[in-house]
Order: sequence, then structure tokens, then C-alpha cells
Amino acid sequence: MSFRLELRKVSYRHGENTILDSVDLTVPEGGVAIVGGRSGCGKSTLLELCAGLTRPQSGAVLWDGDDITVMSRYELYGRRRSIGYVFQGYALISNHSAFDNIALPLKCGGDDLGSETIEKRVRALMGELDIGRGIEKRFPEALSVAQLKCVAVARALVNEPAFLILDEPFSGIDPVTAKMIAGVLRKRWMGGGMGILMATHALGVWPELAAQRFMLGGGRLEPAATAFARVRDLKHDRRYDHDDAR
Amino acid sequence: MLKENAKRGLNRIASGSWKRFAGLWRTACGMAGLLFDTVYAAFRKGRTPNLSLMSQINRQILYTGVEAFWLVGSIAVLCGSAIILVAMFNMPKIGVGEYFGKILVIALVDELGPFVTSLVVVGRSGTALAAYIGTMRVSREVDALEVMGIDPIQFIVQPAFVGIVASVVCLNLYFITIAICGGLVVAWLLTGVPLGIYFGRVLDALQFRDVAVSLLKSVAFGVIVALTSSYYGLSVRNVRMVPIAAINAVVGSMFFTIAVNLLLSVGYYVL
Repeated sequence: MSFRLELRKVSYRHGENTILDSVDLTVPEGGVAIVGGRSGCGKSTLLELCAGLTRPQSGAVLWDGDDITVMSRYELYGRRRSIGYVFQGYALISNHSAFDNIALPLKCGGDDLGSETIEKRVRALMGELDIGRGIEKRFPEALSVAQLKCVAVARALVNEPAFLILDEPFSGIDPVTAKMIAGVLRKRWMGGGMGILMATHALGVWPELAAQRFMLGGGRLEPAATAFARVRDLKHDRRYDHDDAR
Repeated sequence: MLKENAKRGLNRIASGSWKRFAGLWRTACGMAGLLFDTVYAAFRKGRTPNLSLMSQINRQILYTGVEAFWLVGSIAVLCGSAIILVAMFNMPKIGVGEYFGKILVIALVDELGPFVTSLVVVGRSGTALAAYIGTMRVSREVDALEVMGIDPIQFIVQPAFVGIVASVVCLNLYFITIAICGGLVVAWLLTGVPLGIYFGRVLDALQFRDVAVSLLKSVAFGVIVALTSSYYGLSVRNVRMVPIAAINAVVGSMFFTIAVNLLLSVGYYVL
């Protein structure tokens, strides 16, 4: 199970605003890419383009070398079964319980799995993500933010995707739950060689992993080290100018 | 000044009418596309099985059909009683008393049954469906389905389509039965008319062709309600559009229902 994601000269504009300006990004098989940036800089749009939810005005989004921007809707549905996606706002199906939400990709995913296998896989993930049996029958409106996040992550992981896209998976939840989710994702990544693309403000997550870390701003995606160095230099220059002025 | 204002007003009405007509044409084309997608999604090669399809259809039938049981029953008794009483007392006066059964069959079975049930379903379930799908779009549930590789047409529109059509057909048969039986009973209670004779006249006039036309109309109206509501629901882009989608679902469904009713009547009586 391998999955290589590539963005080639992708540009996306919303009205007059340029959200992404000729962005290049490659996440190799089993690679991890973490994208940071200010709120509203276009991180979620970048992830949506990578998943084929939004089409760019120019450029190509390649999954294992195949351009998804020219694929038909039905072809894309077939290919998307190999990815998992966690939305910033969870996007759980409102008339399905927590259990049914997690089981959904298996129930409608094309593989003819028996109900016992589905239940086994869902319960295993619920155990991993500390989703208690008490909440499995609850509907999304009766779940806390942390529980919603855990259910959304479980739903994305349940069909064992080759590539996982996460939009702010640690925002708005307590550090213990955030650490637990990070641990589960890390374990999955170590075990199966699953690729990960994550947009987060916690750019320092998984410091031990050889992850690519990027900063997005002004429509440009650049390595975080370069962006931080530039900010450091800028601060240094400002201080220097300030001292001179004094 | 008055002349200028009148001219400007007429121009605005003319351009507004053209916009409305263009909008209706676009909606009709969009609905035809959605109908094709719905049918295609059910039979296309490589489609994924939806294990929760039956439970979704059952839920739709519960909301649309079962929960409208008392409302449709009450409206049927009221409509049936009014028409039967008017027909009973006025038809003999103009010398057409012997056509009582036939008139009742035309009014209740051919026309009112399918039309009134579809109106009830539009008001109760069409608005709810448009608002529900619109909310799903706003809360990105439709995007979530797409990203899981699940066709939203197959997951949302198909069960609603099957559930609404089945509900309208059943409610129509229920309406007709209650309107005729309930209406005759009410007329008997109020005026003491011989119940058996009038009931016999209705049964004599009722032909298989009338029931078939009524069922055909209710299927067509059910399709229109399901498609219009789903179409406007799926067109929602932000939360402000959700109530507009509900309004458009009612207006569009009523317009297309009346238009298709006319087409079917022309097909039945003229051609």
C-alpha cells in the first residue's frame, strides 16, 4: 500500500485573493509533511486541493503520478478510498451515531466486509482512541469537542488508508487528548508506512520524526526553517535599526 | 412622470419575468441532470454497496409517510365531505345526479388525491429535506462523504427519492380511500342520505384506468418533490441559503407539480 502525493505549480484564487501561488509540494510514500501558517493563510484550502475537494485554477495534483484534477467524479470516488481525511470542523454525519460514523467508510466503502468484521475494527479503533462504549450510541450534537475529534480521527483511520490528511487535528482540545491522538497517528505511521499531510499550528509535533515542515503565507509554501530564519533576520534588522535610531 | 414610472415598472416586470423563466429552465435542467445521476448511481458498474440504504429508506418513509398519516387522513375527510355534500345537493338540481359517482372519481381519484398528498409532502418533507441537505452542505458532511469515496447522490438523494415516491403513492391511496369512505359517512351523519346507494354509485364508476392514472400521477409528483428538494438542498453554499433553499423547494415543487399535472391530463384526455 503506497501513496505519493505531489502538487505541481498549483495556483488557487478566491475572487481577487490569491490563496496559493504556484505551489509545489511532494510527500513521498510513507512521508510526513506538516504545514503551518497564520489563520486564514490557506492551509485548509491546500488540504482540500490535495484531496480533490477543490479544483485549482492551474497546476496539477498527482496521486501516484495520476492527475486528479482531470479525473471524473466516479473515478475520484474509487481513488479516494485509499485516503483518510479529518476536517477541522469534524464533519460527522449528523443523523448517525458515533459508532455508525466510524463504521461508515467500511459500510459504504466497496469491500464486502461482514458486520462482525466491521464491528471488530470499529471497536479496536474506539479502544485505541479511548472512545468509551457509553458514547458510541450518541449523536454528534451530544459529544464534546475532544470526543468529536477522536471520532473524526477514528473514521479517517478505520479503512486503513495509505495516506492521511489532517486539518488542525489538535486544535481546541486538551493536551492529554491531543497527545493521545498524536500517539495513535504516530503508531499507525510507524506500523503501516502511511503518508501524512497535516495542517496545524503545533508545528513542533513529532520532533523525533523526519517530517517535512512548511510554512504557508502570502500564497507561498516554504520550508519552515527558511521561514523562521527569515523572520529571525527581520527581527534582528528591526532591532538593529531601532538601536541605530536611538 | 407617472408614465415614465409605469414604463420603468413594466420593464422591470418584463426583465424579472425573463429572469424567473430562465431560472426555472435552469432548475428544470438541473433536476433532469440530478434524475439521471440518481438513476445512473443505482445501476452503474463499480458502484459501492450502501449497507445503510434500507435503514435510510425506512427513516424517510417514517418521516414522510407514517408521520403524515393523521394530517392526510384529516384533510381527506374534510375534502371528501365537502365535495360529496356539494355534489349530492347540487348535481340533481342541474339534472346530472346520475353522474355523481363519475364526478367523485374524477375529482378525488384522478385529481385531488395525488395533488393534495403531494402538497402535504412538499410542505412537510420537501422543505425538511432541502433544509437537511443544505445543512449537510454547510457543515461539510457532503464533503466528508465525497472524501470517503461515498457518492452523496447514492447516500443522500437515492434513499430520499425512493422513500418520498413510496410515501406519496401510499398516502395517495390512503387519501382516496379515506376521502370517499369518510366523506360518505360524514354526509350520512349530517343529512342521513342512503349510504349504500351512493357508495355503490362510486364503486360502479371507479375503473382500473382511474386508479392507474392516479398512481402514475403520484409517482410523478413524488419524483418531482424529491428531486426539487434535493436539487435546492445540494445548491446551498452557505448558511444564509438554507431557508432560501426550503422556500425554493416549496415554490419549485408546486410549480412543477402543477405543470406536470397539466401535461398528464393533456396526455390522458386529449391525446
